Amino acid sequence: MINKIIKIETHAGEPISAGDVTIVPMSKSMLLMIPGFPAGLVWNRPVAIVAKTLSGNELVLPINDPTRRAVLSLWGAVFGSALFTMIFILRRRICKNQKE
Amino acid sequence: MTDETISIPSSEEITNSTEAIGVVQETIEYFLEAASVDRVYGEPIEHGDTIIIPTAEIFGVLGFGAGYGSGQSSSGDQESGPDSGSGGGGGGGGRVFSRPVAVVVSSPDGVQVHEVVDPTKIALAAITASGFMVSMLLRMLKPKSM
Repeated sequence: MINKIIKIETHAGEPISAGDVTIVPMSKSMLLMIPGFPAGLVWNRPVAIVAKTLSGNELVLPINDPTRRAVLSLWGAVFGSALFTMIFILRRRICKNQKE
Repeated sequence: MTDETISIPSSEEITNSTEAIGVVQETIEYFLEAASVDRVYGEPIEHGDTIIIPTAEIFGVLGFGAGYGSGQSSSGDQESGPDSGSGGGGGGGGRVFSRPVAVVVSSPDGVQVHEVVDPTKIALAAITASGFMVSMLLRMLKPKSM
């Protein structure tokens, strides 16, 4: 069932020759489809490149996304502080009720 | 108990719906091409011994819907016009966003990945997040309501 809703795949792109090095781009795709609902979401992003030399050495270079990391951290902080505020207000309300 | 009449669509209506399906199919194909995984890595740019490969994150959303209905006049008065009718419609929308993530540089010195930082996006997220956090802090500091 979940496979029908979310499909995550890793793709290897066409190898690119750059002198003595062959670069294989790797990307990850996520497809979200809700059954019975005519809508879909696609998210494609680069994950790494594999650099292969003629001597047979292979080097995997991950592609990080600092912008996404920063934005997600900020939203994580918002979620955390919202949770903290909710607990704080709830505790204050319970204390007030106990005093009464 | 309800009495439902199912009317058979005319040839004109069938032609219209076929055209609509064609438009939807064309839109989906265009969307899938725009949001394709092959678009993550751009065309390599050669500059002397150096090859530059731009990379981007692609995010696409698409939704559509369609409906068809028919009805019959309750009066049954022939003079006022046809006593049954039908209609259909559909629509959809979608958007594809893309954002540069990194640049792969292959030079005689080796292969390097240079990350792309989007300060505007981070600043906008920071402003929104701080707005939320300040409003929550104010709520916490608000004196107890009686």
